[in-house]
Amino acid sequence: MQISKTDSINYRREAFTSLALVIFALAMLAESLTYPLTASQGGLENVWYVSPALFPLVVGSCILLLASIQLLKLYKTAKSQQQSLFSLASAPSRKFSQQSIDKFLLVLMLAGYVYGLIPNSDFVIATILFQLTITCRFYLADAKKLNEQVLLVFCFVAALLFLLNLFVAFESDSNRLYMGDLISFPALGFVLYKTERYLTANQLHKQIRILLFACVLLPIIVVLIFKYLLLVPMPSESSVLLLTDYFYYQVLGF
Amino acid sequence: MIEQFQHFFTVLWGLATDPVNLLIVFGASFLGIIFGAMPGLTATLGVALLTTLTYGLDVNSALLALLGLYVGAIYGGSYPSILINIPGTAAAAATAMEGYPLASKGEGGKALGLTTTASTIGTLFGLLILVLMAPLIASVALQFTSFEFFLLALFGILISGTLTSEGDALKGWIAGFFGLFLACIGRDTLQFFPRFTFDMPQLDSGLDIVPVLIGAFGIPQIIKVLAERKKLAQAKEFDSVVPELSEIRKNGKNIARSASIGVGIGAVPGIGEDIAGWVSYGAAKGAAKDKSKFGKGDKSGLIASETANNACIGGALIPLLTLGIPGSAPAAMLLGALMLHGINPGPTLPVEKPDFLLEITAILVLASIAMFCNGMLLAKQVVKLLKVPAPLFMPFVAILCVLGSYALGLNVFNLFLMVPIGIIAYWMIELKYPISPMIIGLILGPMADENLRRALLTTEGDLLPMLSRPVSLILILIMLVVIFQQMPWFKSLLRKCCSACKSQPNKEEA
Repeated sequence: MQISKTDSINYRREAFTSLALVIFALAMLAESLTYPLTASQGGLENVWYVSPALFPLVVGSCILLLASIQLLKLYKTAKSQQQSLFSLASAPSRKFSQQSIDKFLLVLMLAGYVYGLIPNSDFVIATILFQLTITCRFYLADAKKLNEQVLLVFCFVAALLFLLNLFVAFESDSNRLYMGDLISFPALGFVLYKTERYLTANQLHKQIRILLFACVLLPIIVVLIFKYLLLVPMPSESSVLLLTDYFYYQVLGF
Repeated sequence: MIEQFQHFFTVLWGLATDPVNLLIVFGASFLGIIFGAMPGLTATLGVALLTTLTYGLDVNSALLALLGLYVGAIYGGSYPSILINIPGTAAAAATAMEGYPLASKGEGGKALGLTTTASTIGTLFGLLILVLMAPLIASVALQFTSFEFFLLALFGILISGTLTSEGDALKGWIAGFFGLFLACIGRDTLQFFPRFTFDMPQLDSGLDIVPVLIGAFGIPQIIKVLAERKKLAQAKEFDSVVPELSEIRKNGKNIARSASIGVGIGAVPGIGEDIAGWVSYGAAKGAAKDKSKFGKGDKSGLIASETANNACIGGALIPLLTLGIPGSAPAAMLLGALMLHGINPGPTLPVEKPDFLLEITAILVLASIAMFCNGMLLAKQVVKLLKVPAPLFMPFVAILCVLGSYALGLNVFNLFLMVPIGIIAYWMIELKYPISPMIIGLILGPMADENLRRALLTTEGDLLPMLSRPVSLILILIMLVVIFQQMPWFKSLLRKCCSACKSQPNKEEA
């Protein structure tokens, strides 16, 4: 019996995952064996049954056993279908579907937001930029050119901020954040301008209001609720949040 | 007994007469209904996100908010099931079978009324069983030693791994053991030795439960909903939401059966409301005289599914409060929330906090009332929210996930942790590895680790006492049966035994 292309892809994923689990379990066991098993620990004579390695060894062995059985099952299935596990595990030529691309981009956007934007620029700017990028991509799905531009700007800013944080030694955290704002704020302005231009050109006035509410106003409201009502400081506070601080504490006098 | 009743009503009265508490429970319940009603948002995610916000509240107010949201979300899933034929939560999947045909016939209002009433009855029935059973189980569990606790943790992981995986228990068990690995990260509790920390001080105290839960349940949901680009159907119009009491009376037996199924399934670690809904729907269909009506808008099927999924809440709280083992995914989140508030559920809970069970019962009664009132009065408002497209609200959920993960410990490292956990969880879901056993493993890991080593310390490394204690032995035997049941030779052996047993009386008769 010939297996379908989808089955083949699933087998390949399953086989690689099981193999990765086997390697992971072996690494876990190797790391656990470096923990004190019977040696003296902190002046106390250790015995195997109170060793910190005992439980990880049990867990690692179980994962190794279960993943090996899973791999064996896949091998048997492959054999019953007169295919070698290797041929099942080899990548069949295929085009990436729109859904797969979207999934990859979503992960990229989340990673860019969490690792690039949040630690290196004002939280409000980072959040609005992320929200606009993701909403444009999925809410204005027909605006292909706009989406490409917005995504490109987002990825560029996130990557640049991540690399700056990695390779440039700033004098203080606030300096790093101000530098981040100098990069992300113009990018946000560009994205907002481009989106507004596209929507106006296509007579989508209602969508402008919706996007402004969902991507700009709503994140600001949530941030203000967390910061001033629930007293939760934001992960990174610089230009925008310092301005709101000034209004809240100096102008309004709270 | 009378004293306990008095205390229960005192607590209930105290909670119900405080306007702030009423505001919290009604607000949380409404928020829960929204979380349940919006396809893509789940009860577990709702409880996970709300946990962060309740950190500053006192225990009772925090529990009012969390349980209010939990009860509301399980019920709220029925809205899109009935009106657009898409279950808001997995728990309401069976509800769509009868709810949508009813709405198509123009009886959407009646269907919503029935689900509201059935859900309230289900929750209260589950509560009753919780009050009756919990002290009994807790008193038995007080006799447990470290061996039993270790085996109990292992049992929870095995059973949830078996029941939540789609036909391949191995995947469920691997997920459970992966959760145990996550629990190993950090300094161990007995010798304070760093394990899998890779010289990162942020990992010394282990993984925080909330960011892991938000990552595991939130991120896969965001990716899935947005990438699938599903367009929701137009919601069916409905008239007033009036419960048909005559229909409820007619279904008394059905309600009792469904609620019992819900409580029973809820009490099994790791599996929850979705399975309860389907099993009770199947039971109602099996018991019906005219089965041809099912799938065409039969009210008894609708009542069965909704009663069971809400009765599951009380059931899920039984092992949670008595043994410290969560009965469902939202209950696992609830356990994390209780721990954050300094409450360690388990057999010693009635000793440490004798009134806690009564307090939680009173809170759940209030949550059920809030759910009923919200369901009756605000149904039309909730339905309006179904018109909001997913690409507009899912990015906002992503921001809530970020804030929820960060706000608890004010630690950016939790955000860095949330993303890879979310990606791993998404990959697991894609390959049909269940997430619940992983979470249960993470939560029960410290209990299993500590108790295994403590037990071996008392027996000086001897494993035999594990087999000489009756509860341990029973747990080991059950686990062996669960494991062997997955093996083809054992299944065929069982089948042969069954057929031999059946043929024996026939021979005797002949």
